[in-house]
Amino acid sequence: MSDEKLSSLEDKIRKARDESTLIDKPKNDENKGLNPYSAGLELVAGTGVGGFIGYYLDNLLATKPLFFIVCLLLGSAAGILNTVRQALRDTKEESKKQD
Amino acid sequence: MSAEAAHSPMHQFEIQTLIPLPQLMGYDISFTNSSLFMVIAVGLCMLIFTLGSRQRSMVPGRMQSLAEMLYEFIATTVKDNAGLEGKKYVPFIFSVFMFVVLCNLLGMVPFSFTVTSHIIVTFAMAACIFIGVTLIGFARHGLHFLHLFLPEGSPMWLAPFIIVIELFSYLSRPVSLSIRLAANMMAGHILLKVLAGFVVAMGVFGFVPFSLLTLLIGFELFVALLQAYIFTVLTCVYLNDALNMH
Repeated sequence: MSDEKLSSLEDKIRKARDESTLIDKPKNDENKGLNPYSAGLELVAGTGVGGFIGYYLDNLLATKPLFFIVCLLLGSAAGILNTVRQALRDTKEESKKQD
Repeated sequence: MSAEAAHSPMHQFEIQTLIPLPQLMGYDISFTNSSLFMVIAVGLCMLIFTLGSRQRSMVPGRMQSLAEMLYEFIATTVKDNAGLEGKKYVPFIFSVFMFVVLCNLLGMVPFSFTVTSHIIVTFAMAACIFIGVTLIGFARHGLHFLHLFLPEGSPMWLAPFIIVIELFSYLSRPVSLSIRLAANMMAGHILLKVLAGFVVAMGVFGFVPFSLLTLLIGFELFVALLQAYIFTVLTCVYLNDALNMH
């Protein structure tokens, strides 16, 4: 066999050996984390982090309510983004499993 | 009968100093009941895995089977969520899972202390995981890791908004990770204590809250396991974001 065929075969063997050392089992069906508490918590956490950062930016730059309000709103948007991503991740895993 | 003050449901979360130690750099590092239960959790983990890896037979007995099933469970979870590159982080994820699940379950023992119901404990773990995952991301991708905050194919005129919102959503990860675990544990235990108070207060009809209490203890055991699993899965997902960047 030529050299490149040998090396590509070696790569394939190494990859297959890597994949078999961790036991191959079908994914479990449990809910991976988007329960109602988790969704509400993500919203609050995003808003909280935004408010926190906004408050300290305001103290640093002496622009009293501006950064706080803006960062609060952006933090809520980030919380909504996280929640939607979590929901999409759960449905994407289910559709991947059915393939 | 001695007139005891009624214990509030929050009394179970008080930190009691067991062995006072001198202050270190202004911080009180005494050995508390929280430390005691952390030591018990770690000791239990060591016991399970020492006894479980003694036999090494091809057809495992009970302890070996338990140890093997726990490892296989975590290894599969890491592989599913973080891909093959997550393999080298299995020891760490495994330690996190075993610590959280044993601390949660130890809290269900009567008269014990739930370590993970204090947000400082869960926040310390979540902050370590967050900082570690960020460092892993920078070590692996260099400054290209910052492209995490501006996904491919997003319109340029939205870029400032998207970057700030993605940054906030990234920073809210340790907060939500820690609060989820602490709030679930604390709320469950407060509920159990309040219902237990009702059992005493209702006298003859105390069997009604008592049966509800029995069901709730079963539910709390399930929540203890589930919250440990969710903590671990989310850690693997954040690790995947750092290793593979979408």
